[in-house]
Amino acid sequence: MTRDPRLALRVRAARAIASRELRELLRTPDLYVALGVALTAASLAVRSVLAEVAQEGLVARASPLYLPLFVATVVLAFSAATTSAVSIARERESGTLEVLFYGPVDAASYVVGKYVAQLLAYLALCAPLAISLATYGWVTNLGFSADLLTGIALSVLAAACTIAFGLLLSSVCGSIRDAILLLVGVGLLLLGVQGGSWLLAGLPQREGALGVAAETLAAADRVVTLVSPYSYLDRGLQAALLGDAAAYAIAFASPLIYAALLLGGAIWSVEWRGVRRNEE
Amino acid sequence: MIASIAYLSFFILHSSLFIPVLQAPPRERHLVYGIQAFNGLGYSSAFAPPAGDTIYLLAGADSALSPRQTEIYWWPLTNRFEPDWEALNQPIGGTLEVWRAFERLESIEAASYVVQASDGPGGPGELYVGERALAKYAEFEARRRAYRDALWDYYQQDAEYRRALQDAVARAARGETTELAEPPREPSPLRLYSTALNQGYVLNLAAGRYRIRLLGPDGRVVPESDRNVVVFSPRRQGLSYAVYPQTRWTRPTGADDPKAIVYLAAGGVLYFQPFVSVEVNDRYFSRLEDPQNRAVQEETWRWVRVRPYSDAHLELEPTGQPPSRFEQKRYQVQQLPGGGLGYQIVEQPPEAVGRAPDLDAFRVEVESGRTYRLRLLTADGEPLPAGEREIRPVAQPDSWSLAAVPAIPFALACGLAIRRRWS
Repeated sequence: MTRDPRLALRVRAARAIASRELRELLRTPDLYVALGVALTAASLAVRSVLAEVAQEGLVARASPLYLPLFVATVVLAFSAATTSAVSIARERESGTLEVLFYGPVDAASYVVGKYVAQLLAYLALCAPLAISLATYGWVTNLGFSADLLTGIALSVLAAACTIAFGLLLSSVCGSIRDAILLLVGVGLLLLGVQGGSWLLAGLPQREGALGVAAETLAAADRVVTLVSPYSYLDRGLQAALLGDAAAYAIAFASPLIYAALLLGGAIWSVEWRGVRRNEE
Repeated sequence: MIASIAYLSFFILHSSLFIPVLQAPPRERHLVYGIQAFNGLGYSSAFAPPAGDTIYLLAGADSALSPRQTEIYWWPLTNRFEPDWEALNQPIGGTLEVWRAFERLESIEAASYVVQASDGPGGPGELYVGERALAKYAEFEARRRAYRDALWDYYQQDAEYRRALQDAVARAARGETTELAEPPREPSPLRLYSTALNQGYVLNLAAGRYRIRLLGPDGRVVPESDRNVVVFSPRRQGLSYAVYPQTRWTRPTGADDPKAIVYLAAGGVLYFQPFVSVEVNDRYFSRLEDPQNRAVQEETWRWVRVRPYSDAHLELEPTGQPPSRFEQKRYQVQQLPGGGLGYQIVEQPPEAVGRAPDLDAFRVEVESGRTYRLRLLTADGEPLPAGEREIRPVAQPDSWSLAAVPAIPFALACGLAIRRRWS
């Protein structure tokens, strides 16, 4: 079996970039601050469940730790997306990207290397996340079910999408500021679509401009729900609960396809935009 | 002068506040569908104005649609279209066509129908069609007449009894002895509920998306009769529990999902009422009950209780101890005597015939801090697979215990930041 030397070179370059990036990620405090924020959010969600039990006297739930898990994974994925959104833009801004590309590094190996590093960093956080949730379950007696492990596994796929999305934004933007602004803007837009659709949906008489806005937002919300990796996280958990293999396969495959498309977009964007600083 | 102007202004303002303002929204004549949709237990009555262009029905069950001309108006207080049946209520005859994609599946002729529920509206109900509907409605009318007559007789006898009682009291005051007959017994209330005899089209379709339209006697499509019909099936079937804590029996908690765990703050007495239930698409079901309901948008699922599961035993097994069995009993809630609030839940006495119990459930007592496994058994003692639940006490740790977990990564981040600064 012959091996393509160009591919081998690319793989080696990607591995070197991933290794360098991962070391850097694990040595900076940002990752642990993100984990701390995620676990704080999860502990608040646990406290809300406990408050509900205390107030109502009894509560029946299939998986009361699902909300804390969901909240924590969203925080971690957003943090990963922010780090990704900053990474390429920062190296382009500082000129590191240009220097790297004088060596045996091309757009594909660079983007894939960055992506693998971010994904491995997220995976590294999954173990403390699972241990923390198990601790919450043990301390509160809410329990820790196997569904939560499925949820954590599916959250890696959702994070794979958000990291790829962050890299795409970063490759498009010329500066860190632009990348952050774009990421926050997209986040607010998605929130606006979902919140606006929910608000307008409550109005049965939707005529004129209000009606057009409601229909447009409802259609946009359907698209967001269809492509959102976090809706697939929820559907994946539902599928696992019901033992629906086809739905589970869709929930598993869809984020991978999205991530591949977004990564392809990021590679193309780096090639198209070039590696030099804006002022050059 | 200023005082006069001020007085005049006050008078105008004040009087304007008391001018009655007529709030009568404009009415428009439209074709609407009156709907009797099977909801798993009985029938939900609804009406679909032209704005709600989709009708939702459960698969594999008879539901009735009754197209009518009526006047509808927009009522801003509830944000809904409302029908004014008294102003106009004209059934539309013809043939109802059911289409799936480009294929006409059925042409249905109008028939008489009636919905009856043996335990009052909202309870288990039946839809009767054609001759059977006529017979059932006649039977209902006869029973209603009989009840009315029995009630009339009762009031007559009661008045007579009260007169006799007064006479007896008067005679007793004069020192005479007298015998008093037994007081009359009030007839049992008529629990049978029936809709009026209506004309409509009965549909029983498999799950899927359809279109319906009405052809008039001239063979033309009746304007506004074209609607979408979404017919859906439950996703899962199972056993649900309504759990009533003795401390707040009016607010039960549903342990519907087969994997649901009942988390308790403290021990106490709980009443478990089992139901056969189905899990349905929340949006579809909400719109089956009310086609104008737009609150539920997401593809969420909910459990709907179809009927109580009777003829069963409940087994409660505390961890590490042998299980105990419980029987389902009927309970009444009695207010405590006196001015203060308070109630007690007691077993319904056998003589309370005809009165519906407040609770028909299994009474179990659980201790604080102990975990239990609960199983529903058939009459033969076989455990029902979907009837198992866990009852688990919840610990309420102090805030510091929960905060300790995120403190670890924060401490690590601080350590790394300090190390980077020093190096």
